[in-house]
Amino acid sequence: MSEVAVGTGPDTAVDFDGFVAARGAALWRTAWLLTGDRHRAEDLVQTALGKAWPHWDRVSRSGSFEAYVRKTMFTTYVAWYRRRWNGEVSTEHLPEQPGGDAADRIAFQRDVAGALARLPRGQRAVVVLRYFEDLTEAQTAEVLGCSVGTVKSQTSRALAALRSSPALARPDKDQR
Amino acid sequence: MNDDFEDSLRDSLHRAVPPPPPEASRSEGARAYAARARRRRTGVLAAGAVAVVVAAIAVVPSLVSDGRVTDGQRGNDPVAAPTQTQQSQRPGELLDEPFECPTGAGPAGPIGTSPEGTIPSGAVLARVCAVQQDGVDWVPPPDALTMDVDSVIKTLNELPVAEDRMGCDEDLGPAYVMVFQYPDGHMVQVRGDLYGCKLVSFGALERLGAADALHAYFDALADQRRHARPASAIPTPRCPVLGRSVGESLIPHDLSHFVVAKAIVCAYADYSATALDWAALSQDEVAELTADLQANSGERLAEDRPADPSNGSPWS
Repeated sequence: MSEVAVGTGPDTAVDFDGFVAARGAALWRTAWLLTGDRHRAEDLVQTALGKAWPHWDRVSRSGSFEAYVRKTMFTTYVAWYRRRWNGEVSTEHLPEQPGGDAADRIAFQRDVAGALARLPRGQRAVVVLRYFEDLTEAQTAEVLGCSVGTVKSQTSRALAALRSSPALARPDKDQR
Repeated sequence: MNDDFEDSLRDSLHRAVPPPPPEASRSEGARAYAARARRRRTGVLAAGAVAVVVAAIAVVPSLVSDGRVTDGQRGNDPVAAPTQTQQSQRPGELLDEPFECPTGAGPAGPIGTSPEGTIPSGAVLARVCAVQQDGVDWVPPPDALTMDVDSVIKTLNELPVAEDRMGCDEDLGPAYVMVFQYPDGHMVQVRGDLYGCKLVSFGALERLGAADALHAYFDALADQRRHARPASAIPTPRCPVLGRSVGESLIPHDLSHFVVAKAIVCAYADYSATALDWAALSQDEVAELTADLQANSGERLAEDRPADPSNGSPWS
């Protein structure tokens, strides 16, 4: 299945199942960065898709269904996170504990997820949108429904916090 | 700004994400989610075990004398009120193309900003347009301000410049764009965020006091409506998303100028931040709600209260 273009034409080349098959993994990756947990990431993706699915016919005609789902996912994350998952203790107990490179990789995942988890969820959302999704400040503001000024200020705060994170400040690139 | 750390962060994020699980019937799950939502809606409403929230549109009555509303604005038939084109001529109507708030994503087109943070005086029309955001929705007054627009501009220009927002709670919430139109047709806009620091963005410069600016607009509009008839089309409000402080910032300082034109009651279940269903209030219920709002608002609501720490801002 080819990738579905985002906002560049009708999504009618694929049906909903095709869209999910093509873009579900990408959505999950973003959700993982937001939640720091595989199962919660899946929950978030499922919820966003479930909320967006009734609007497939209308939104997909404009070719913006993925953008719609992503926006739904971020607003769901920001709005619901404290209600549903406020007992989260992020990434402290990963079930897998393999050795060698896999252990290093998982440790790196845990460190990055932990650094993100220490950010307020709004700042985390901004970081994911700006540095994982590579959205502009204006696009990030549009997704989150806030001003560009808020995006700028929150990005600045988030970066200041992340700079002090040993996980992100460490010089080694052993995970490359 | 794009320094080495940002590049490193971008790289780290991409490297850190674990491989996604195999496609897990997400499309089926999405349909199941939607079906469950429909069933929950039906069941919860039948049981009546729902939380309810009243969403209302407060509008300025067209003519207020002795504290009573004297035209057709009260009740459920605002369409009966005269249309804006029937009103007495006001400065804004001299414009060839008076600005109207667009539907959809928000104002677009050749609308300038004021990066230096000062709106020029002399505007002949001002409008407040809601910034449409997913789940955060509100309806601004439908009619334009065409009298004493400069009073609003003066309020905006005197707002303190935002310098250090480190102490602010910046939850997401409703926002507006205020557009000023001048005799030659050109326009200048500012954006106000009715949440967090309540920033007014002039462009590069930001000021504090978006709610104050909106209230100044409301006050000027109330004064205008004492001298003219209001716009006719009062849309039905929509249910807010729970957890977002939609209503608080939008209630005018002094409700003695206002009546509730339309109100709906929204039903929610615990699992969802969005409303399951809604129903319009009757004319009598709207009148009762108006009385209740007027009896329980005023200075308490006018305070620009600090954020409730228990509110769980996403930014702090």
